[in-house]
Amino acid sequence: MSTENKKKNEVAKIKEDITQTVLARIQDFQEAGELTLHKNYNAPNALKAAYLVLNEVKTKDGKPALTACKPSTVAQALLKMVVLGLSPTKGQLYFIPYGEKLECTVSYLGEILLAKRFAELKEINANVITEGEVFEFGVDTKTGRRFITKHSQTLESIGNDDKIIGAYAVYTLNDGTTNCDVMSMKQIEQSWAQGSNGPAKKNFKVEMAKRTILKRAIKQILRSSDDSALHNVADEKKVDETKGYVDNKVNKEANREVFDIDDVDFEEVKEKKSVKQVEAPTQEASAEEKPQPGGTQAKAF
Amino acid sequence: MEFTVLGSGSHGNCYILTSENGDQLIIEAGIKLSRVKKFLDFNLNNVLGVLVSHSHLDHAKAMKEMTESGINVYASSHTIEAMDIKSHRVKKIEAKKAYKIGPWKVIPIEMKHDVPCFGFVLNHEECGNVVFITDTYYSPFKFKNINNWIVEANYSEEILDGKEGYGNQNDFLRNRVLSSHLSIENCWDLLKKNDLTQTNNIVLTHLSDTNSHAENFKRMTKEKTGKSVHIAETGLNINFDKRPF
Repeated sequence: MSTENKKKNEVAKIKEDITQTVLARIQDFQEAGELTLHKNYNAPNALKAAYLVLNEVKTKDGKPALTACKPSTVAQALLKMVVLGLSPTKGQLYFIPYGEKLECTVSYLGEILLAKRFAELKEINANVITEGEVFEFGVDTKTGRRFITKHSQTLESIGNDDKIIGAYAVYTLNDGTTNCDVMSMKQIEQSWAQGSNGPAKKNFKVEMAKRTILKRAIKQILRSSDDSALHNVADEKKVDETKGYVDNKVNKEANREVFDIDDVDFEEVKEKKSVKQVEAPTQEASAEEKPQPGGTQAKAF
Repeated sequence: MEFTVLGSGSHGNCYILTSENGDQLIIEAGIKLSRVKKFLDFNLNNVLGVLVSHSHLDHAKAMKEMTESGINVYASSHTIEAMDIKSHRVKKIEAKKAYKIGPWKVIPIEMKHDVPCFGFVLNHEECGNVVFITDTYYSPFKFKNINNWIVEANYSEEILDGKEGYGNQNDFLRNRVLSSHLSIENCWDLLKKNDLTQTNNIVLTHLSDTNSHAENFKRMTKEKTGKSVHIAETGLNINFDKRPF
């Protein structure tokens, strides 16, 4: 077997092991009622998709992340993905290896999805403001919310990456509330200075500026959301207790006890009207076990 | 032996077994007595008795009237008390004890409903061994040498949770159905677990208006068992002998 094949097999083996570990863990959580997946989320599918993505992920020195990172951290990253209910193929998250550790980082698209799911976000849009555009905004002193009164662009002004002077994001929640967040280019650049300085921020300044303002706006919505939204999501995929109970009973108890009519002898063999076992209920019995008024006895189904 | 359906389902159950000499055993009293009388040509002399499975009205509605008409009614103590009947015509029967009603051997067996409910295992020389199972979400038993089956097929899981079924509209009803009635799937499972070599007829009863499909139930049960399968519709009248010929 060539070394390459060996490596391939190694990766395949790791994949299989981790799939099983993660799926088993998810199942444990679900069975214990500790994890509720979103109704539109298919964990096994997302895990398969994650492996397609993970196969391409390499560490800084070009090693495949699946062999370079500790399996436990891979499992953790995948678990985070499943718990959040995000899809790696849609760019909702990234797997980033830091040395031996694989991390799952939520992208701004993933954050928008989470805010829509958990924080009642209906819509969010971001724009950049470039030099020469009219942009007017103010603050509603009653609520402290910012609002934009005017933003007029021209064909000349848009796409002028070097002359961005700021960006804003406007969002609407499901209850109709709108709010906006505004950042000047100076603030945006300060924010960029906190992270790595990749080429994207130079080459796609407009998109990166939008991303920055979107992330900041979403952070406010998402982190200030309470747990009620989570409970609603939990309700959407509640455990079908009745079905589970019934299936369990049926599996364990149905069609088991062998019944042979010939094994049961008559208690008393006599003509129909004087069968000994057959007797009218006594007065005491009926007094003792009267049906509950309004009980189910009189219902017809 | 003839088997006749005067009603089957949640609007009322009543089945009649008529032997060659004209004797009749009625199972369930869930329809108006007048309808039973009409079928019997107003002659109650040949009625050996009525077996009532449980106290829900679609099975027990006419119990009292029947006792008043001089018919012996056989039911569990729970049913008798729930229907509040104090007549010497009402006879308390207990699970797993054999009773002789004319030429019939009758053994009540406990079913799994939301009130105490009996199924019955019957024997008569003309129709052999008969199992009657209704209003139960499973049968705890499997049976030996059954010639004729009268068994509930209330709903299909697929239909129940489908577009038209309860599952989509009413959680309470759905869950009640699940935990108190026999699905066609569990009915098939029951038939599968039993040796059907002696079986002549299988009658599927108590089909839900909403959650079942009579034609499919009949066709698929026939495919699975290779037996003569009938749907208990009002007016059904079939030969119920031990063997087909």
